[in-house]
Amino acid sequence: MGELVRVEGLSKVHYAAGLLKRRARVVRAVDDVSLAIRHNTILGLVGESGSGKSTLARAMLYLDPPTAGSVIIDGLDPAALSRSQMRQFRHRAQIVVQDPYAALNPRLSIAASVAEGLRNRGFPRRARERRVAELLEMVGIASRRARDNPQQFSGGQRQRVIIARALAMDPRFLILDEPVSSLDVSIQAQIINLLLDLKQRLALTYLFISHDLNLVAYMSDAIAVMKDGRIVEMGDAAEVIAQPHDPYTQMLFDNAPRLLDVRPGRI
Amino acid sequence: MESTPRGDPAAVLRLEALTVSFTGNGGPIRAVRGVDITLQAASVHALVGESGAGKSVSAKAVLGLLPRSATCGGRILFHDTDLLSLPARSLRAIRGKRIAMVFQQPDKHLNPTMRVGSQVAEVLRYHNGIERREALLQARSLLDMVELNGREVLRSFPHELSGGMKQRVAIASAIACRPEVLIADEPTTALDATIQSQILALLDRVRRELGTAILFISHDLPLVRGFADDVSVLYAGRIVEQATSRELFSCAHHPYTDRLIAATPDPARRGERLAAIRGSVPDPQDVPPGCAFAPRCPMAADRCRVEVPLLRLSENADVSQRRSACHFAEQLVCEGLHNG
Repeated sequence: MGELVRVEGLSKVHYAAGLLKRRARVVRAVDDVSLAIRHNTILGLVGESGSGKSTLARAMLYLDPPTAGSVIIDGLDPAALSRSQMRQFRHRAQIVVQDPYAALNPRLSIAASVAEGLRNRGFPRRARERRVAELLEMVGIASRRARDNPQQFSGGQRQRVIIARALAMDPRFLILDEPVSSLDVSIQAQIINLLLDLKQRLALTYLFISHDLNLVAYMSDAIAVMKDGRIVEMGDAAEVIAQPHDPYTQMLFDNAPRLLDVRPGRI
Repeated sequence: MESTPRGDPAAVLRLEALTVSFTGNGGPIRAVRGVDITLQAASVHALVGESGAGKSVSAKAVLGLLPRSATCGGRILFHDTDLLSLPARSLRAIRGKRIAMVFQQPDKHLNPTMRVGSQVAEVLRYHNGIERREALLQARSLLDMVELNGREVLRSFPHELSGGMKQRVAIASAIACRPEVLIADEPTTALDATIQSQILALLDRVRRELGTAILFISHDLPLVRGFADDVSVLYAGRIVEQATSRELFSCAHHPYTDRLIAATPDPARRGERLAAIRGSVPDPQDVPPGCAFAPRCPMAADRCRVEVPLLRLSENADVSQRRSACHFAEQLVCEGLHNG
């Protein structure tokens, strides 16, 4: 299968103007990043806080448009799109973020939250309700709970609702930005399994962002390591884990505590 | 249950049948429901479990930092003194001096308006009655000891430091009085991976050089495996398994521990499905009767739903002292999956 996502020379530069300073300080949050993600695979993106992972994600989706470089997702180049085409682009590429407690409107039932995007896409009421029930079932939420508000759900269940909401747009590409880092281990495993199932079932492609090396190494097909806004290493997951070339990547993997001793590629 | 013989010279801190409950709207919330732990000098005992298991509440009970709405039962023996029956004044003389603590978010426990040096020095002035100049000198060498540039950092404000540096400052003030016990509640959770291992190395140095016993609270199994000598696994306010780290991670003797290990992602599991535990942690106001894990347990039988399993030595135990609170601990077969 070919590439679904291609990013070339992407940069995001902020100008941090000091209050009393004449000249603004240039902050290269993302610096000349190029990457490609094959259709129906997972690219894991690791790096420490402040390395630019989330900024890259937002720039790729043009939520915060990049200052340089190009993005093509599923054949669409957001820089060259008309308004209506841009809407298409927004449907095809969705993002799921970390905090399941902040990402849902507390005053809407979960069904209403999931239905919002469908309404924007012009789904008539009946079809909308049917689709919401389908989506909730797909992420493992009983449809009898569709009228409940987010407060009545646990963190893991909320994350399921957020995933359902993203899926409502029939996306081809999902950016998962630390989707499980606020969840307990046993719940985290449920959500990870769900994400892997959905990827197979709906032929999705993921950019999976996490600071948890074990998790990224477990689920990614390819791994990119980010440091100071740049990608310092990228390649097939098994190879990056077994033989990292970049000294920073080596240090990162050597410092990661392990639960199991077997390292793939090292035995 | 008596975990160690009385007068064990190495036992610094013993929790005996510790219970903690809070008054809630719908009746009492029993957060800790009978916990026995022995902490040995110069060793690391980890408390692991998911949120709501009672890890932090147990630690706060030791420090006497629970809110007024909490009621404690059992005993917390620091050497031979029961901290639970100690008047607040005497407890203050121990807390921060002989039993110190490090928390997850160092910023919350550092005063943003005070220079770092004065904050570390304050501990020494309060507990040891040292005058200011001398205390600042000692603070500087403490900061050097936690691998900061003491001379510079002494004059810094917390906001000028990175997260890792702030945690080092917090450790410096925690070890200022050479404590016998250090309670570390998720001390590296908010830090990046590389900083995390540096902080653990530092805590390990404190353990070796000062002989401090560390009660290490964490939800991170890989981290615990590498750092702790002994591990207590908590579930819904009770210890379900207690063993040396080596024993625990080579073969779990409780289904919860086993499932928790199997649910943890690891590069060696690529391509496998994670063993998610169905359901979620019980509401502390509505803990199921019998074994609290039974509704989620793949091995549960009728007996589990009525009879609370006691934490006991395994019947086919060899020389090891590992304990499990499962009626069917003997039937758990280790597949050698997590050979350590």
